[in-house]
Formats: sequence, C-alpha cells, structure tokens
Amino acid sequence: MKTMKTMKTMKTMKTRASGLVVTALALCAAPITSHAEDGVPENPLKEAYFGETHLHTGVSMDAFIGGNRLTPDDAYRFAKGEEIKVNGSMHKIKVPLDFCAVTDHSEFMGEAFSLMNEGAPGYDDPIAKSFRDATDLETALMLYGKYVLTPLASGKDPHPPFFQGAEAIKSTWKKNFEATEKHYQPGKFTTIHAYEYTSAPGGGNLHRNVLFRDTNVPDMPFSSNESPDPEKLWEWMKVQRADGKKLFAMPHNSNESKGLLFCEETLSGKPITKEYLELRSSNEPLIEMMQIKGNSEVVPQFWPNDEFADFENATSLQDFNDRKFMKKNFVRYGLTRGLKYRQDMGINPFKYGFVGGTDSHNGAPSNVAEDNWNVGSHGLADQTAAIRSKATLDGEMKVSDLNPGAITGVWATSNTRGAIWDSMAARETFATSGPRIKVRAFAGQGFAEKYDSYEALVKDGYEKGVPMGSDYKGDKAPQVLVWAVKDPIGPNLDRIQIIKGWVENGELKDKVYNVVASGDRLKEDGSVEPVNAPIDLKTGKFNSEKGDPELKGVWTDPDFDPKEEAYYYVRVLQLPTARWNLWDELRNEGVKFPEEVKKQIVERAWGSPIWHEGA
Amino acid sequence: MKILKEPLLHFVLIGALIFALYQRFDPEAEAPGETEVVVTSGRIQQLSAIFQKTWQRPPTRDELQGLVDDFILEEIYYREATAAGLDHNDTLIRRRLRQKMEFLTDDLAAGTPGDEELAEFVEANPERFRKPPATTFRQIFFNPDKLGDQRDQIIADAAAELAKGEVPEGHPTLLPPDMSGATPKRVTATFGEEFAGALAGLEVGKWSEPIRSGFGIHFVRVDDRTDAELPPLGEIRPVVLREWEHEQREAFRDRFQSELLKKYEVTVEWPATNTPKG
Repeated sequence: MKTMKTMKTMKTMKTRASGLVVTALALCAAPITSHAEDGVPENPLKEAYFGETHLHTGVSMDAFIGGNRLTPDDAYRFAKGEEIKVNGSMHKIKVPLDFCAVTDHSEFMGEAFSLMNEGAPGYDDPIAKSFRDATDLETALMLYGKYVLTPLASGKDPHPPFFQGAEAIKSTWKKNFEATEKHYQPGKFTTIHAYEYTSAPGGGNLHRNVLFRDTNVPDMPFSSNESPDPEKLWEWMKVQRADGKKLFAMPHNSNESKGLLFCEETLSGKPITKEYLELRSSNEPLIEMMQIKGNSEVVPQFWPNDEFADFENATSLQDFNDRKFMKKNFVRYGLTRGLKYRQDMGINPFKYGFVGGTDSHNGAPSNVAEDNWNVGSHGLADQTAAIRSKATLDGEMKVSDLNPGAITGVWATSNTRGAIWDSMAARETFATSGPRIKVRAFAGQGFAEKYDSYEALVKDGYEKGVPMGSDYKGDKAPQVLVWAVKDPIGPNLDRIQIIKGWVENGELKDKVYNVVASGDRLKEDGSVEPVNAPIDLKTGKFNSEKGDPELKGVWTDPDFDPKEEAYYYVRVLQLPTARWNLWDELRNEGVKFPEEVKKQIVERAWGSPIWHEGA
Repeated sequence: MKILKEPLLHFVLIGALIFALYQRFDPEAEAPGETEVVVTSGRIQQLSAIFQKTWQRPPTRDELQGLVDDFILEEIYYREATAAGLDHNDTLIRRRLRQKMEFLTDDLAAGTPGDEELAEFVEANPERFRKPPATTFRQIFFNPDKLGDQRDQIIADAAAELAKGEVPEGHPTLLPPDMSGATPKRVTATFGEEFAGALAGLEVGKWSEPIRSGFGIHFVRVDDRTDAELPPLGEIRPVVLREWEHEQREAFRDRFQSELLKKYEVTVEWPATNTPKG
C-alpha cells in the first residue's frame, strides 16, 4: 500500500522524538489512547480544567505573513506558563493552562505531503531519497549544504530537481502533530491534535475547529481548498469516523456568519433535509461563544430586554465586508432555532454546548487577562497601546472593539486527552470571557436547598439529575441546581442567571431569569438591585468588598410545558473590572482611546445548555 | 455598451496589459516558455492518491477527470502568471517561500543525542526538570460576607479552638476542604496565588495562623509535603529530549541565518531622515 511508506516515516519520527509513542498508527483502526493515560488517577465527580481551543501559530499562513514566527512548540510552552517572545516582547500568562489545542489553518498545511506518495514526480529522485533516508543531523546538513547552499552561494539555481520532494520531508501537519505529542503530559498538561477549517463563502464566516481524541489522525486535514461547503467537511468527518478516528467540529464567529451558520437552507441552496440535520448534529457538539473578534451570544439591538447583552459586541464588524448584524447570527437565536427544527423535523442541528477561544494569531494561547494584554493579538496590527488606540484590524474591525478573547472550561475526570475530549463531546463544558470562573449546573428533581459540601452537591447532581450539555427527560418542571465560584484572582460574583429558550406555537422565545444574587438583592418580582460596585478609574482596581466568592441555588422553571422544546443555560456575572484599553491608558502616557470605548466591563461565564426535548 | 460590463473580458484585458508591461520593463521576465502541458501518469497517480487519502476510496473516472482538468488549468495559470512576473515582489509569495525554508531548516536541526549528552543537559539546567513540590493539606474557610462586624471575634475563637486541639466549624463553601499531593500550580488554580504562597511557608503538622485568599480567610494544616526533586533521567527522558531538541533548533536557526548572511554583501541605504543614531 502506498500509505505505508509515509506512515512508517511518521512513526519513526515519533519513536525518535518522544516517549509517548503510540504504536501502529496506521495499522490499527481502533481508537488509540496513550498508555500513559492509564496511570492517571480519575475523579468521578470531575474537575474543571481550563484551556485554549482556538489558536494560530506561524504555521498558519496569515499569521506568518503578519510576522508570527512562533511554532506550536512555542505555543505549548506559553500555555504551560513559560515566558516567550510574543509579537516583539517577552510575555507570559498569569496562570498556566491545563490543556491546549493549536488550531492552525489547514489550508496549505498538508500540501507538501502529497509528494511523499510513491509515484509522485520527484519521489524517486535519488537525491530526494537520500534526504528522506537521512536520520541524523550531520548527514542532513551535508546534503543541505551540497544541494541547496552551495548552488545558492555560487549563484546557480538553488533548486535541485527534487527540492519539492525535500521540502516534503515533513508536511506542516506532521510537524504540528509531533509538537503536540511532545508536550502531552497526561495528568499534568493535555495537548489536543486539531486544526481549523477555514471557509468563508461570500465573506460569511463558516470556520470550524476540528479536534481529535487521540493520535489516530488523518494523513491530511480537510481544508476549504477541498470544499468551502461545510457539508463536505461533515461527510469527510463521517468517512474518518468509519475509519476509526474520533473527531468533532466547532463553529465560531457566528457574529460574522452573514446568516449562513444558523441556516434555513443548505449552503448550496437546497432545502434542509433530515439527512442534513443528522449529518450536522452528529459532527458538531459545540460552538465557540466568544473570542477576540467578539461575543456571539446576543446583541442589545435584538435582545433589548437582556440588560447584560451589551458586552464585547464588536459592533464595528458591521463596517466591513457587509457583515451587518442580524438576529440569526447569534448563538441564542441558533439554540432556539434548533429547537424548532427538532419540533418540525425531529432533529436539532444546533444542539451546541459552549467553548471559548482566542483565535489569537500571535501563537499565545489563552492570553485572555484584560490587565495583561500588552502584546495584542494580531501581529503589528495591534502590537502597542498607541496603535491599539487608533488602528483598524485590516479590513475587519476597529482594534478598540477587539477583546483579549475567551477561555474554555471542561468538567472532566482527569487531565488527559481522552477525558477532556470525551467531556467536550458530551458538552459538559462552559466558556468564560477570560476569568477562571467555574460554573456547574444539573437539571433534575429532588435537589436539596443546602449542601454541606461540594462533594455532596455534585453527587446529588449526578444522582438526581443530568449535567450541563445533556437532556432532561422528566415531565415535571425541571429543578436546576446551579453553582459558581469566582476566579481566585478576580473580583467576587454578582449573580447567576438562567436563560430559557423555547418554542411556543411555532414562535421562537427566550427569557432571562435571575436565579441567585449576592447579598439580599434578588427581589420577589425576579429583578435584582444593581450591585453598584464600579471600578476605580484612576487605578483600574475592582471593588473587593461587594459580591460573593461563590453562589449556589436551586431554580424551578415556573412556566414548564412538557410538550414544548426548551433549553436552559446558565450565565454567571462577576463584578465590573477594567477593560484592557483602560490599562493601556493607565500604563502608557499619552495613549487615549475614543470616548465611546468602554472602560469597564462585566465579565462572565456561560454554562452549556441542558435541553428538554418535547413530546 | 455590453462589453464594459463583462468582468471576464476586463480581467483578460488587464492581464494582457500587465503581461505586456512586465515583458517590456522587467528584465527577469522570461519569454513565454513551452506551450505544451504534459500530465504524467505519476502526477495522475498523485492526484488520485490525495483523493484516496481524503475520502478513503479511489476517485471515480469522472472525479479523476475533474482533478486532472483542474490540474491542467492550475498549471497553465501558474505558467502564465510566473511568465508575466506576477510572482515578483509579492509579499505573500516571498513570505511563503521563507516559511518553507524555515520549516525545512527546522527539520534539519533534529538529531539523536545519547544519554550522556542528555544527562549533561539536565545538569546544566536542573531548574527546568525539577519535579514540583507536592503538599497535602486541610483548610477551614471563613466567608468575609458572613463574618461582618464580628470578624475579629470569630477568627480569634476559631484560633483558640484549634489551639485546644478542636476543629472549629467554618462557613459552608464549595472550595475543597483538603487537597492531596497538590502541586503549587493546582493550589494556585484553586485558591489563588496569595494562598499558594502562604501555604509554601507553613510548618508541617500544625494549624496555621489565619491566611487570606481571594475568597476569604482560611486556617490551614499541612499534613505532608514532598520537596522539589530532580528525578533520574530515565523518568524524564522524553521531556529532556524535547527541551534538548528545542535548544538545538534555536541554535541551528541562528547558525543557519548567520551562514546565509555571510553569503551576501548587504548594503542598507538609509534615507537621511531615518538614519539610526549611534
């Protein structure tokens, strides 16, 4: 078989490179879990692990052109807390991550690989062969000097006949694979094999990040060069799954989707069929709620009754590429529209749990702290405070509308690839706008008003209910047990809300309920006395007196109808903190952002929904 | 004037114009080379193999024809575009080529060090391979919101109880009452830096003075602590190898760049206004 040669090459590389060798990559169709995962202790009650699910390094062509020379290796180092030169200056995150997926664009990532195939032009060239067979540095250097550098120096054509073949010694996809393997330390730090499928037909963002469960990954990632139609991506994923690989896709930036993400017809203009719904829902358990280019949950213009909708809306996106906001570009709409598909056709294609990412093109995962965003996110375009106060991100939006991005929380039994990926696939996740707020919810019957310990609460949650991301199957009004704890280095929490979406007489409805608030601010009518804890504009400091470090409670849906489709998701609000632009102003004399740029924000966490499927 | 509205025609006209200009003014432009396109059987096999890799099945005859047709057009566009010099001074192409070269040189930096070499590397960089200390502890929590005015009294009472060997009841919390073998990273992630810092200084087997965290006030008792230690090479070899390779790559890249620079005579003509000082 033709694939054997390349597979052997890949395996040899890994054997040389890393102790986490997984045998027989190509020979075995069954899911492969690293043996090292076996010894990692598991906590059946699960712990929250924080990580990055959307990041570009210099391997992504656009990032490289923007000046990023960092590799996945550097990105994983940064994720673990190492100080790295990012966008021109030394930088590190305040708290290291538990896991990280590098999602470089797949476009042009695997191309060089094609020449590894036997029969391809140049493959049999003896010089190419000697390059492929070189196993040590000295030989490789000698060959490189002889065939590349010497001709270059003498002014001759520096391209030996096999040059393409030599370049193909390793495709970038394989290099990413290798770095991802090398940094995986089961139980301590998890890396996930991943990439981004980058399709934007007519400027409508249909990008997806694809994450693999283990080392059983395809030779080449599927890119928008193969097809810009996500249906083809899903078909490809189905083929991979039939081949024993485990993978899922997560769309992002629905705010830039021009109505194409939560669609009424297929991208090729055909009516939605049951097959389409089946294909889509079986491939996409999660959606990215927020990232550098905006929060996609809701915007005030379409949700005037949501008093916290005005948050990182990235409104200047609308000034470019004709990406006008419409209600159907936002996640809450998509969730509710999905219910109606379920009601009408039996399958919910938008049954999405939540993740948060950065989409940073600087190779710096989860660099999400507002007071630590000194190096920007997109190379020269937002490198310094002075630039950020005035610039536009090339043809996309105002830099002042960017935010440092979001982070993903996963409730998993251990910090291993298998456990984290499984919990993501099961949607037991949450997203936050940056802070390490933890949030957990269960829907069921018979929860207690008070629990003596966290352990007792979680046990009861699993025994009498279902966790976030699942289906509540009861026919009585669900009780939702919610718990949230603040970021250890952040301000206290303001309140927990539950957002319910449902379909009533064919109409899409949603409503925000205040469930728990710090102090005695929650009133009979469900409204909450504002916490009134502004930041100190002169120092940037948040109020450290008000709010509560943790909030918990049980809420029962007052308007439950067992025949109706519904979902419930949790939103946790913390006390206001300074936005990154205020830190820029405070730290850089002479830097002044326009008046309309907000100086303080209410950061938040979103727990994945729990669904009730109607009769 | 239908002709002016035809985008394809515009494209052809502009293309011809650019081509003519480059022919005239760009000395590097080659004459339009051979006009023969041969799609070798090896190339067809390659196209077919890529398809097979993507879809786990061979292409049908029609699909293969489509791939070949597309390849022919791509080849013709490529030739026309390079003949027209469209690749010159194109930032995208220049940087892509640099990227390819960097990928290639990074590959070359690999090697296979022996245990001795790795052991030396560990010896030179012990701090990078030390296993972090692990602490097993219990904690009792007091919520500032519930302490209110009586804060000092409640804390003093709790301290007195602990001194008598009793365990006072703290406020209900969902923070863990204990952690076993926790690394500083795990403690920081759960309780914050302030708490983790204080924990590191506590004596084993004794209840602490009140400790502050972002959540409130804690009494802590460390039951066990393992100090940071340097494991034997056998236990950490993959990590050491990774770090060693990283260093090699960095060093190789520097070396490679200075080698390249040596081969060129570089003249920078600073404009008078921008000449750097010193």
